[in-house]
Amino acid sequence: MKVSFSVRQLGWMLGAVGLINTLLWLDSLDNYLDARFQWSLSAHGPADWFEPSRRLANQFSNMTLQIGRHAKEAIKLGQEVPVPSAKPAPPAMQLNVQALPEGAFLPSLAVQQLAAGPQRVVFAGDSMMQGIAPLVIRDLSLKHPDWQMTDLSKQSTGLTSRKYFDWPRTIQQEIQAQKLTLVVIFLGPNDPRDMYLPDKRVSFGKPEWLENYAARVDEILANAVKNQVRVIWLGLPAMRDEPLQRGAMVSNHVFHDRAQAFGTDYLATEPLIGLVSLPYQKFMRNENGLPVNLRGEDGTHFTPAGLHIIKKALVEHIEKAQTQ
Amino acid sequence: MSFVSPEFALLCLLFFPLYWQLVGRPKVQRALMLLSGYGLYATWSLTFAGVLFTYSVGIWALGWWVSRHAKERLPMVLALVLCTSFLVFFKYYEFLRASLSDGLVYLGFQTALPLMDLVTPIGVSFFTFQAVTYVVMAAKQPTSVRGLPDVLLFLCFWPSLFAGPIVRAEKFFAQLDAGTTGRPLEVSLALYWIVLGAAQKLIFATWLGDTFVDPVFKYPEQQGGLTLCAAMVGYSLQIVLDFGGYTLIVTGLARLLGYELPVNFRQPYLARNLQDFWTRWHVSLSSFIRDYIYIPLGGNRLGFTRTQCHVMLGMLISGVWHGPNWTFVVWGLLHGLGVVGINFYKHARGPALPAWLAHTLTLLFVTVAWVFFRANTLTGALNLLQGLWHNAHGFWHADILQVIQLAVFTVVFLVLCRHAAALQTRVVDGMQSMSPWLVTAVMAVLIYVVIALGPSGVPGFIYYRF
Repeated sequence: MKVSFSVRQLGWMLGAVGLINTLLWLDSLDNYLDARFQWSLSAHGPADWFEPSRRLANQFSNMTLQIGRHAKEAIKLGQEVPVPSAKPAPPAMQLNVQALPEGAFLPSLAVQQLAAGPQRVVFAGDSMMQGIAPLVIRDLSLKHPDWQMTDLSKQSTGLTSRKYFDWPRTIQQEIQAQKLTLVVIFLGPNDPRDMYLPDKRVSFGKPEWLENYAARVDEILANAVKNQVRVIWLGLPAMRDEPLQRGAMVSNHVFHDRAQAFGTDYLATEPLIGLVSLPYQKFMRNENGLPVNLRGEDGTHFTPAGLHIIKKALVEHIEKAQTQ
Repeated sequence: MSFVSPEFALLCLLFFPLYWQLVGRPKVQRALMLLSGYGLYATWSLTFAGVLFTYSVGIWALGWWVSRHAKERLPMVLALVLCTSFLVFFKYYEFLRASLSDGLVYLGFQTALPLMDLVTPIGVSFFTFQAVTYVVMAAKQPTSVRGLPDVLLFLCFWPSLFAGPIVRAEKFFAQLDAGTTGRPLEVSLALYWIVLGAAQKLIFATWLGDTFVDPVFKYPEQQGGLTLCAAMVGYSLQIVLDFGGYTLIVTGLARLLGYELPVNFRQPYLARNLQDFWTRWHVSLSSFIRDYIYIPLGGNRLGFTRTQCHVMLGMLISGVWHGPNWTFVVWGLLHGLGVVGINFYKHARGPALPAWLAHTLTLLFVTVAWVFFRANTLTGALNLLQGLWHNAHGFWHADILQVIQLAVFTVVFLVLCRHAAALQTRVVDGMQSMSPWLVTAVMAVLIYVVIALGPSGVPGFIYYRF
């Protein structure tokens, strides 16, 4: 048996490796802790501490051959991508969300008509969209081979943490780069958490949180409307975990309210999968009266049967918008 | 909490020095291991930490019971049914209920099995198989039965808790009894494995997944035949680098804790036939199936035909073990048919194939079978395979530069597989001749590079699903 280092040596060696890499990655670690645990290092320390690690990471990124990776590195390393600023419409929504009575839900809004001709569509969102987008794209591709569709979904993202992933900015870039005609958005389970603003932390569900969250939704919708891009925002169904269930209630309220304000579409998944105003249920009966499992084991995502139901509703919604 | 997450790395910096401080006090050290195991498990689910504890107490009681009835067969069979029914219930109930329901409805009947909202505990397939090894050990060697703290530690030993390797009870307790645990073993080797495993997982497996595999398996109908081939090859490499990388990391961590984990990989893509492949791929599972299922069924002792039935059953169980999905059933059956086919070929005294041809055919078979392992549905797998020759985009519609990158990577990978052992020896010898300061500096730089080339966020391990 070879033991080349003593336990004491090994202890300080590991400590030194850990300390060096913590310092060298301090900025990324801050982003990670914020996204994962809602705990911001930078909120508790001077900004100067984070600058060297940010600069080093950027330099390393420039030096390194990018092996099949593109935009996500820029986001990971905190590079600023210049984007013309949008002017979000001022939030004008009720900042005190009340639970709906049992059995009630916010209904779909179908007010937009797609522009004539082939569509250029982007599917944006978190892991919820990661499940849906391939099915919808496959279906629409068969019906409309001339449509250009891009799946931008990225798991663990949302609107709360712009440092980790900035959806308003990304969607704005795509609108300009691809001359989009339609954006479909499905996200939310990563959002019920505190928000870090430049000068303070805002607790989830508070009026100030709602105001800022709505402002991010508005930023997306305002840019889309300004560029004559249609938006279909999918609402969230019931969630098994209580914080996510409350988050779904709040998010749906914001998505629905802002879609109404901007004249864009909202597709309610609640009647398809489970109402937020009722207790979570995993199974629903199909047309033959047989119970079908719609939800994944985590109580948030969907089984293939659940995905199929949402896909069908979304495709129908898009088709109707085209033929109206 | 993932083993490649920043929070885990930071916790290790606190845990290991404390753990090593307790070298002279094995009971306290084991208590710390137990506590850290349950703590880590609770970061996934507090409820399931309780379930794991209850299950472990149950296994300890079953072990005690079968050791009291060592000469009787029934108690051991009952104990094994009880300890595996936990796995079947949590992991396969909904699959069985839905499949039975579909079958009965097809025949014009109604199903009576109740609906249940079950969640599968993480690592359940691994720790239930470990529990089986304990019950069998207790039945075969009644004096080897252990106290509750030891059984709790065995089933909650965190390096192997979430995705193996499957540790056998007798090997684990032999290490405890030998008193070798608690001090780091072969430190240079352990550090080499941890850094190499992290690089395999974070850099290469992620790159392969993001670039070649995930987009194609998501949208196979949008790809040309060559791109589909690249995705198949990419996944073959991704899974071995992902699971192999994971195994290296946990084996290295276990060494730092003073434990040896069983070998799980022996360069599987150097295999020259499928039997050879199964002695190199996920060895802790394949040897478990051999020793606890195939041999007890009769192995190759009951004639040629029965042997082939045992092979098929073993492979089917190996497939189903991965999850309640028909894709895994087909994957297992394909491998079973492959092994049976080789047995028939040998039985008919077919001529031995040249080594290069045998190697190529084995790689080809394994790569095609992986399609069923990776696809979410059988239809998805068949669509992808069909796209290889029936494709609206044509075969050559592909990003040729990317295909060349993959081809070069594949060749380099296979060459490195051949020389991995020699390379490991050289690196470890080199580390042992370096000063601690230099090793620290090199490790710091390597870890920086691995993080820099890795993905944003914490990627999941493929085998965490199982």
